[in-house]
Amino acid sequence: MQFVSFEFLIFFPIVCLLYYLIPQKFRYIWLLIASYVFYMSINPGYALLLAFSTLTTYGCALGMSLASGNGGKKAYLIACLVVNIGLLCFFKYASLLSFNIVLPVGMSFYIFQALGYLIDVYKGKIDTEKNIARYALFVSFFPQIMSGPIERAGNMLPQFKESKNFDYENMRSGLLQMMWGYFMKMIVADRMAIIVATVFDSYDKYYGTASLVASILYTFEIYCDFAGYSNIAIGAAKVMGYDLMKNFDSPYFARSISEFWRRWHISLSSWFKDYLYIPLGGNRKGIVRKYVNILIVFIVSGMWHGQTLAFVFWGLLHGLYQVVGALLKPVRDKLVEILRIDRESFSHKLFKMLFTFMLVNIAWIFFRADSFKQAFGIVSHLFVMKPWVLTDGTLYTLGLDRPNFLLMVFGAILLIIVDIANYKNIVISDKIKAQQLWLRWIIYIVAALFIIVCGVWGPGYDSTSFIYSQF
Amino acid sequence: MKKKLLLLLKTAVFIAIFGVCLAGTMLIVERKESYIKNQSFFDQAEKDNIDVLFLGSSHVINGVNPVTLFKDYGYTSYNLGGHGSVLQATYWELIQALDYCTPEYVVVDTYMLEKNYQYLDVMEENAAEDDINTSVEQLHLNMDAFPLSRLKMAAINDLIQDQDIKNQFLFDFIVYHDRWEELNKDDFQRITGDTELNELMGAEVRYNVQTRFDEYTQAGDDEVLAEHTVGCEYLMKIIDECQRDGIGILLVTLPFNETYDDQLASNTAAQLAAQYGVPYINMNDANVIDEYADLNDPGHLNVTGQEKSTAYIGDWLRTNTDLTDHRDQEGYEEWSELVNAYNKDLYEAEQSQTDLATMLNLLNHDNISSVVYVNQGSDAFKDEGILHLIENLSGTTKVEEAVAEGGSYILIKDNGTGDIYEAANMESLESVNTSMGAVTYVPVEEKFRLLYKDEDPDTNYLYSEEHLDADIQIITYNNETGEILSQVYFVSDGETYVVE
Repeated sequence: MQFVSFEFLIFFPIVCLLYYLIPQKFRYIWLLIASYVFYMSINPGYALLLAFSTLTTYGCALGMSLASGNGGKKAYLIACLVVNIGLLCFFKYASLLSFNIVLPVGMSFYIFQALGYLIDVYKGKIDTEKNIARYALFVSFFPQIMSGPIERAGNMLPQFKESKNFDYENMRSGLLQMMWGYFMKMIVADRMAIIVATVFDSYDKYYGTASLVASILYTFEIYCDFAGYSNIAIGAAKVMGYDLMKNFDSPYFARSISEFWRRWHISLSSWFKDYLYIPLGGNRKGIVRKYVNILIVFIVSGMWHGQTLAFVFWGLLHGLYQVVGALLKPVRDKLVEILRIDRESFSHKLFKMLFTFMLVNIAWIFFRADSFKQAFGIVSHLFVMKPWVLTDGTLYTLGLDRPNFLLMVFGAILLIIVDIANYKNIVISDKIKAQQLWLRWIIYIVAALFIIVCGVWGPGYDSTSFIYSQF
Repeated sequence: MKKKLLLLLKTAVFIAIFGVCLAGTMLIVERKESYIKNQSFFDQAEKDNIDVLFLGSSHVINGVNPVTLFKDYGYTSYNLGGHGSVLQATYWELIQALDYCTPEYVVVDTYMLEKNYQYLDVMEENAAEDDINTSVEQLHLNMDAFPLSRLKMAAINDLIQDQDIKNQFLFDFIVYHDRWEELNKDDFQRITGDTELNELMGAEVRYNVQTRFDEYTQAGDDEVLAEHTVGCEYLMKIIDECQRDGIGILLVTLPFNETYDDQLASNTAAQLAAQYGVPYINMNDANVIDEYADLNDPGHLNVTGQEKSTAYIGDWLRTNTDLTDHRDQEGYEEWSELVNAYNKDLYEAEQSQTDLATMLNLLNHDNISSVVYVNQGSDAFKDEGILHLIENLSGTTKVEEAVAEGGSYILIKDNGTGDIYEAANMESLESVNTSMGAVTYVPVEEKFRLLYKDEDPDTNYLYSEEHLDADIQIITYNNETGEILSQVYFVSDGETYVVE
């Protein structure tokens, strides 16, 4: 079951309704059942792997709490890490060895989440969760099992223990956030995906500006797609009274790659920071070791994102951006001094933001491309000047007709406005909620209808395909 | 507690308003074709105004006109034919329709009896994707107008295999929300109920003329389909259903250009009809239409073909049933208005067409008078199809004289007086009596002809500075007043005739 499906639109209200109707002490059990139903709707067999991961991490954490010495705890930790990461690697890379095995949806997320819990228990940051059902819910909580956010046990387990009364404000905020997520996904991302697919699939036909436009659209597409999903997940949890961590924070306004990673997929970035970068030594063991650690973290991040070498290269590229950026810092500082650039000026900030955006944009090409050949092909076409494609109608031949293209542009502009507001700590949903009832309702209804009607879903309708005279 | 109740009430009101807005949006974006074609069926069924139900494929849509059936016989009927409807789709159309009305007679066209597949989204083995797409799209035209019901669900389950496609029939918003980019006035008028509905009780009129008729190998009467097809099965179900409900049934094969395989299907239909003891008419064998004038294309009748086949069925119904003539009865004024509207549309169509064959064929109607002039050397004289249509108009072969001698030709078909005047080559017409008054035609010299009213000899209707190159001119005029309604000039480009 996907968030963008009829099944979910039926499933979610039923789960919420029953959640609030049944006694408080049984609610987490109901959520656990609902989460497994949700996950099994994709493939019932996947539940076995989920249960396996849950039981091994639960058992090992329990073992750690019972183990007398540090050696015993470490043994539990390493054994569990090896088993779970081994499982993840097997499903991720078995297909490369010609096995017909597909990575179960969400596995990368829930294994990282479960391992985060295990490491936190090992480090003594949190207590072992004795209630297996509650722990199983933490690993399988349906709003975030598919694509995160990768939550921390320290945040979620206490919430699952709390009494959650129905809260109108939570419901309203959650639904608004879900709606914004659907907007990002169905109005913007899925339209951009059509143009991106057209250009990437036939990259040798598109030189210059069309390639540049497609690469920029992909940069927005992946943001809208992923952040949209996160918004739906966070909103859905909010409706039931649970606060999930923020996963995206206006990432394309970042003025450096390191800032980008503090704003992009925050739950994963912080996971890598807490459970890989810092244990590797972080920046505590000298500058060279720091750079090596950064490169390791981003290579692993690339591997986490996908099976092919292109993902590893994408991760490496982000690591190199940061290492090279750090190495060049004295040169950059000198340039700023010589050119008398005001670091606080808008133009300087804008330049840094655009430069960061372009670096991220180029890296995304490797993320999206099917092969290095395709990726390098697109990158080589990127800066061939053909600006007339912006005005000669070429853009309307890339898979979207004019109305759909304009709608996509409108969506992107709205997205940028909301992100600017977010960047300036202005919460649009709070502004809406502050309005009088009649205006709020109009906004809610128009927005919902807009997404339902103009969203990319269903089989599509092409009036020209109807040929009545054939029979 | 009070706060909670208020919250509950507020939520309920919001959901209700949202539901109404969503329902309205669904109406706006839905594809209107099915609603436009079939909505009057529901209105008439509610008034119990349907004596006869016509079912089948697009052959029926173009082959039977309930409005002319009412005009000439007084029987009320509805044409529920569906584009591309195979017999299983027709069966379910009938079953759903019977939920709303009980007609006295059902007339079913047996076209596509040979189709031997169950699911419209699968069709035959190796069916082309485009064909499947068209098949599904066409079923939407039949089905969309029927509200969601158990019956509709049963129909879709029987006709469609793929669950996703089934859902698209049960909740067509899944498909039609994408129409947001092509919405027009008609779409928004749906919520105010002002959409212009089909004015022919489900029928459609085509005007083109197919002047070519392909000859196929003739099948013997005893030659039938080699297997018992899905089409046969559902035709039997249709007969069973009607017999069970006490509804009279007539099986027909409406006229079209039958291939050998089509003839086998028709023979099989005859065999099935005989087996069940129900009447069957193969109108291809009954010389109902003029094959060179009454077809819009090889498969569909045009307006004159439709009128002839409707009249043939009307005669049969009058002879074989006890249907009531409602023409002078109260409560059928709406039908009379539809007749007037149809006559008006036809009258307008007769006055101006961009296709020569279409215009010549339309002038066969007796509600308008016309002059047809073919200039010397016109390509029309080499076109068998056009000559045939002119002969249909005149009722003679006089035009052949012009063909033989390479001269010009004029036909005055005056439906006001009922007279027809013709002249070929250098023949004149002296003061002939028409609704316009006395008219004279004089062929002065090559490509210069006079046609004038005797009361106004200075106005030559066959001369126009702007149309000197035109080789065919058609003048239409009012039967009663003689008022000139239109003058249309055609020029041949060697293959077709275009309006100049």
